[in-house]
Amino acid sequence: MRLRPLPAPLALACAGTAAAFGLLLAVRYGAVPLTRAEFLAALSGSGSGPDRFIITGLRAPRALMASLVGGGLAVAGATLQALLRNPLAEPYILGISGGAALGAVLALAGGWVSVASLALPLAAFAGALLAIGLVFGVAFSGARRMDVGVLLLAGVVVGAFFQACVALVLTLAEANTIRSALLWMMGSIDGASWGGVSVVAAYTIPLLAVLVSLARPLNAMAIGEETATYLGTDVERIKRLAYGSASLVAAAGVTFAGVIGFVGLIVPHGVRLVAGGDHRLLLPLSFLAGAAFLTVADLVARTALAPAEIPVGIVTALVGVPFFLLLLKKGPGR
Amino acid sequence: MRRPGGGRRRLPPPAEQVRSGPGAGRRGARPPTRGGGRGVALLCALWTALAAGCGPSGGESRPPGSPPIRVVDDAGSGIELHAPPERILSLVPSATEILLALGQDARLVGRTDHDTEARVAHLPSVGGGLRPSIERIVDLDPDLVVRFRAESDPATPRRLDASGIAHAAIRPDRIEDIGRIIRLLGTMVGEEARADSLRRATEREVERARREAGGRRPARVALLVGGDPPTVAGPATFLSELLSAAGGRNVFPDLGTLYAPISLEEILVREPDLILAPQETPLPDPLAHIPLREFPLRVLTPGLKLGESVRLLSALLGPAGEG
Repeated sequence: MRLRPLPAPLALACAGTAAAFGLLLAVRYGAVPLTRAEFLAALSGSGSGPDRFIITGLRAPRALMASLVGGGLAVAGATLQALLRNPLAEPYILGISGGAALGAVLALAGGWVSVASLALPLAAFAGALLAIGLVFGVAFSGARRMDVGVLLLAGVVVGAFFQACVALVLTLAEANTIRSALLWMMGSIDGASWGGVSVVAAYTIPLLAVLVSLARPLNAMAIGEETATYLGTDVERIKRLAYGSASLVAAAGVTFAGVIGFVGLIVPHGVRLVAGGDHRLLLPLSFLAGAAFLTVADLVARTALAPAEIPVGIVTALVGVPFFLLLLKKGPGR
Repeated sequence: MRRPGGGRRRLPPPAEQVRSGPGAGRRGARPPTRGGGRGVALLCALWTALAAGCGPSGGESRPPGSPPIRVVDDAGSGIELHAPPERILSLVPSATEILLALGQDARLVGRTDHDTEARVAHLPSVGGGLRPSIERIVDLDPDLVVRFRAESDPATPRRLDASGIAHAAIRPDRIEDIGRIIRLLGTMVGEEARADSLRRATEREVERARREAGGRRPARVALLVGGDPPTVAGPATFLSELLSAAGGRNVFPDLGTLYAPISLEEILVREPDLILAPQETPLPDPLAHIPLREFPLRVLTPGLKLGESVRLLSALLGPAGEG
């Protein structure tokens, strides 16, 4: 049995419904079971204080953060796969996760997280920016054009270097730091707050709009850079914009949620299998599907072993990979 | 410092039901300090009034108009409570132990997965002491949360602040910390005299155990807390301090960090009389000729049973330490 690409309106409606349903489920369920009446009362603002705080202060910002991060990672992954013309490309392939992890681990080992609550995300973001800058600098150093082959290699090498630095810092760190760092590197949306959601939304949404606006030139570049140039695409500008925007979106994700793997890899491929490879549809669909996927994965992470939580990165791999393999098995072109 | 609207509508199940039923730790598994309907609240108020003076002391014993309770916790934060808390959640097992010793059994509303005290086994769990489930904590609606002062868990205090729940941080790292923590908890729950007596008893017990362990040639000990790779405890750790109290000497007095992976060569060259390690620590083959003594993990938790821990380590050192 093969899957046929869905018509665009139907695909968008399905993905939108899935994202909305994921949000609803994530707010409805959690470590504390609420009856339907308690849930509705808390939602309408008439429930008890603890119930209202659980719904509006804990679950809602966490669900929205998962949506933004999941959607952002999926769009970044889809963009980088097109830019690098490599199906294995994902948001962290260009060293971003390594840079962010080094920043976070240094902040934990240095005890800075006790000084300021934003120290950890800021340090992770600084590390991610450092990695992006390094990779960008290397890819541009030889010529005035960006060589995507060099970009990919530089990303892998810079990532490996930062991972080695992380290992070195952890070797010298205390047991508590090691545990915290490992948990952070496995990814978690545990600390989400309305402030964090506002920052991520204000930062990510404009970048996502830039990426979606690049859909048509990315379609041309999927055929080849030369062909895209003949078709009138300013290839160098598109590459810079696509790389910069996708990297910054991934940096925001890793900053607020740690390293959550597989979302940026399997969601765009899954969407391609179901709805085709046209970036005008692929990018918005990836956002919606990524949002739904990570929201539900986070719901599983915080309820499966409640009150303990599983790092969401483990859930994205455990749930996402078998699902993705199934799609590969039944997808079009087989 | 109850948040407005924090009251629950549901009566808790009996303790037996909570202990044995699958719903233990779930919503509704509340200790019987919270009222249900108005009639139940009235009954509770009547019972409280009747029981004043013979139940666990604390808030009831404070006369109206008493000044607020002010303390500074181990994070350096000032805490002000207008009355001793009625609903306490301890995220630190040793603090739970102290609160129980201070007669606060009826005020504890939850526990962590790491609590071993049978008296709190029926209470709902909020997960680990670090990174607990904030949802569960909010649902339990405590007046006071006692938490670890841990740099590795900055989210918990931030989110307790956001939910308006008062919290006090403690850091039981050293033997002398226990006395300070007993005093802090005693002040917060309005049991200063009882806390003072408990603190003196604990300190006396440690001193007695220390004296009993004295007068022997100190055994030279490698404190192995991990075997693969071999990881040892440095002089600034609680374990090393216990060892010293038990009459032993850490062969790594120069270790700059609390714990560090160390080469086998370095352990061999220090020629320890014996290796002390938590139970089930794998011992690397090249160290197999050095006598190994294992201790239970509870020894690593600084708490009221400090004297017992010192005696236990002292007994383990015995043959090698006799001089």
